[in-house]
Amino acid sequence: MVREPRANMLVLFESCKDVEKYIAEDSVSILGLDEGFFELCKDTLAQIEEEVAIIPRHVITVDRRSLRLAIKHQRRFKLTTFKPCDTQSARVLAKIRKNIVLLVSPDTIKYVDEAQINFLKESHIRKFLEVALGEFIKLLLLPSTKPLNMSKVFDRLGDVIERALKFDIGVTVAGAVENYPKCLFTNHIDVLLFSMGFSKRERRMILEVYPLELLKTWLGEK
Amino acid sequence: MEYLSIIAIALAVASMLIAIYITLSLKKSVGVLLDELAVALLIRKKSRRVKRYILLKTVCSEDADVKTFIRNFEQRISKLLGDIGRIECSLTIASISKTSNRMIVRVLGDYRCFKRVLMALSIQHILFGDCIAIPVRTSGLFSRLRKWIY
Repeated sequence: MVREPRANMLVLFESCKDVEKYIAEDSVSILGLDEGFFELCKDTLAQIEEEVAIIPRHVITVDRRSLRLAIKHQRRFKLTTFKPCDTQSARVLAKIRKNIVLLVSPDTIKYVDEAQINFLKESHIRKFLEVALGEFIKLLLLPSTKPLNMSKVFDRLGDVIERALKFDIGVTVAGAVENYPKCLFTNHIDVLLFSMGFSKRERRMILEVYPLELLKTWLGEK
Repeated sequence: MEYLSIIAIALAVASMLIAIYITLSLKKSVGVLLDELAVALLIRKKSRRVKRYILLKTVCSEDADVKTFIRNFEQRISKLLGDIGRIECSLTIASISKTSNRMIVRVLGDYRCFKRVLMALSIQHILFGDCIAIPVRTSGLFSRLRKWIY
């Protein structure tokens, strides 16, 4: 069976067996694993027969003070995503002349909003967005979350993705929730994007085209 | 002569009263009929039901039982759909393959039901754990999905 060129940019697993199970069940072809876990499971992952590109990932939380240092010490053997903690750091990340991946999560949606997309559009170097869809879903399932706040957050997320797609800014999705089996498969991500109102073409761009482009950009940098 | 004029006036008044009564009752019955028509149109619009089939692959962790999952499947999804969703959307298991752990689910309801059920299917394992339901294919015809269930 031919695997679809779909990507899940980050999964949080606790054992190497879970990765094997996930790859066996899902039609994923690009899979991101946490850097530390990737090192731990290197040998097991080498034995996997399926054609899957497994990439080491690292998420750095940055604010205006730590931003310069984080960019300076960014290691190239892992694909780094920046999680801005304030508007200033988000704007600086948009202006930096480097290929940068910005995290869109319930915490950062305030800073990585539609205005930020305009800044990313004006940048001369290609920038990418990584939507932590798992964290949004987690928010949806929390009993303490008010329905109004939840719908606001999802509405904002939809606007951000839509605008990014409109300006051809790379959008990828990470289904990081918790350990296996409480994770999102690529089919689930596809369904969730469908429920949010994205067309087949848009979903294909998010799940197949942009992740591949990000991977190529990252490998080219290296 | 006086009697005749009195009778004529009385008849005129009576005819006027009858005319007013008929107009009012006619207006009332026309209003009732219009209301009924509006309700009928609304109900017809609401009850335009769409039938969709979803092919699911079930993946369970080692300590979980597939049979229990299938038994509680409808309850789980109904819980996520909420009270209104539960009334509006009908969800039934149409076919199960025990060898491949695949099943076909029938969703009956308005056009939003299908999206809601798909969404509920995609997130149910995060809430309940144990078994994952992966939507593989969807179709409006059962026969189209039957060949994929093997």
